[in-house]
Amino acid sequence: MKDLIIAGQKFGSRLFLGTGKFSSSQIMRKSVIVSGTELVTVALKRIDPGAKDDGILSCIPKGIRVMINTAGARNAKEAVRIAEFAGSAGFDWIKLEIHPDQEYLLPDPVETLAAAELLVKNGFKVLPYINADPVLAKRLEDAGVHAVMPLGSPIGSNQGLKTELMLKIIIEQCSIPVVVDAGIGLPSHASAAIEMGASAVLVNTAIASSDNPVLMAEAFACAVKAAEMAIKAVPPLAGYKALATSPLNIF
Amino acid sequence: MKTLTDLIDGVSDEKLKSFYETCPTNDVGNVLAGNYRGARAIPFLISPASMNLVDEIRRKANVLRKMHFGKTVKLYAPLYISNYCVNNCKYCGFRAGNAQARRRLTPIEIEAEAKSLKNSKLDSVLVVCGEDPEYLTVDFIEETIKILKKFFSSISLEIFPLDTAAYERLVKAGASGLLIYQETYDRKLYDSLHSGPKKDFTFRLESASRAAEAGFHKIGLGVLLGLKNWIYDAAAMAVHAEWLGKKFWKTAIQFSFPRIRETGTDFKTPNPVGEDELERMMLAFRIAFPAAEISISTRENREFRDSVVSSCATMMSAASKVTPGAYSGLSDNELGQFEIRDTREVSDICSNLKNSGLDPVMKDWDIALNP
Ligand code: SF4
Repeated sequence: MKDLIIAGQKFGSRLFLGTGKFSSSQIMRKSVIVSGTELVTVALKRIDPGAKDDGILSCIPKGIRVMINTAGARNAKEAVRIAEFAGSAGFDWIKLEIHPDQEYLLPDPVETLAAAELLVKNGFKVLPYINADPVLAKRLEDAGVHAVMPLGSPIGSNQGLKTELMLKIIIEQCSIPVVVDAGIGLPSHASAAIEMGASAVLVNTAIASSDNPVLMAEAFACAVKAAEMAIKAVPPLAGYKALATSPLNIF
Repeated sequence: MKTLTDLIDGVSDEKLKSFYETCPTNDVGNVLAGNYRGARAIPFLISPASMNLVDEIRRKANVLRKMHFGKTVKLYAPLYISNYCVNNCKYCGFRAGNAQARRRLTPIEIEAEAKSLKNSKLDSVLVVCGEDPEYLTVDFIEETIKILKKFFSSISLEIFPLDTAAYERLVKAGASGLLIYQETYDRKLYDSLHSGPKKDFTFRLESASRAAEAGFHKIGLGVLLGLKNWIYDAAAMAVHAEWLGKKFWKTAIQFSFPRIRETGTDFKTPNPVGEDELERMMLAFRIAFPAAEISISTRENREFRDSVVSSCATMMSAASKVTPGAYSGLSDNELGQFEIRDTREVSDICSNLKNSGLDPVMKDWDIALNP
């Protein structure tokens, strides 16, 4: 299994965390620590990047990459403005999420591509949240984003990898990391994503909204680790089909 | 596509009555199973049959609340800038015919209010006023927003209806939300309660559409509970919300459920709404519109607020004063629009929320999101 490298940074954990929805910043902090994650995402609208004692930012342990997300943006213009605010506060990793749809928070492909092109040009590390659309993923890769983040199912719905077929195509076709984001409700969903060949998963609601977020964070860490170990161990073939990341590829 | 007016006028007491004569309990179960939601789910969720299922309904609402909003509660405070009013709404203490002390805040006073409010760490403010077009011109409201922007990330407005061009100016100035309560969706009753410019039912009804068109991110709907039987107004508001959600799919919708609190009028509430009914209505909207914010004001007492905020509501006002100038001590609270039942300080509300496993959120908006 290839090392996970995004925009030149190597990540030891394939589990990324969202920081919203927790019952307190302290519980969020503990969950982040226990999960072993090295990348978290924070909504700009929830923080005051200028303030020293910002409740959320100050609770994120040192050394963890903070990626600012553009939640709340309905179009490219708003998302770009958020990114610029973040940039001027010293954050240049952007989780680009533009979901004008107010019910399922589904991402807008047209606005996302437009914003991604601009942000990449302006030097941001851009990781766009997208529907599981292989062509869009390739368009974004061409635009120079640093990873794509397709959804498994709608945000917060905990329904797992309903987009499996398209996720597999994205994983097969993209040469940048693929991070499955949204819809992962159980540790087994996270395992399945990694076993399928995803580079990483991003989890928020499943941890934050559980009764015991710290324990759940640990459960996810175990699940992701287990899947990673399984791939390294090279599972015997199930049926007649090899795993997507077959080690037999000599090229 | 039916017009909004057709849809609203399609709601009737007779239809609801015959619906309830036949609605069996297992249809409520169908809604709870997630088979459908939106406006058509509401009549089931508030049906007499649903009363046997209150626990299930509460559980379902709680699951959806956690799914969409996690364990967070957004706090905000109203900021009254004038209680002059040219209208004569029978139920309101601010109405023109009422001899009561009035105050219009000057820009300097608004800034003083903002400063005092900001001391409590709140970051989200709701501008409230009577219909006072002589003083509260669009220019003045625009100026108010510009002052408040220096202190708060999120500015919403609960003001008299305006046309699209005026709304556009207010969005540009930095307001992100607009609340416009229909009070009641029953045209006839509405007509009998109002005089002055507010008498125009349709102009008010269509305000939400104009505001969405003008680019507000959030539109707040509400009915004043106690005027009409609540089942009717809940059903009609749901129809309104669904219509808006389809047409203006990029605009978030939030709901408020204010109950009449009589102050300074001899108005007798025709259809008082009990606390349990209020709760049922809020739970129903959480299930039927799971992604919508639900707000609960200090008109309700702390026990009730604490309970609904964990089952279905997602926003609460805090340490509210409902008189212009009351935060900065310009005036005491006796000219308020309604009586306040939850008088806790912001810090007390925060620690109570934390104790019940909820995170009080001050900032959930950023000026970067405004044009
Ligand atoms: S409800 Fe509003 S419009 Fe009516 S009298 Fe009171 S302040 Fe004026």
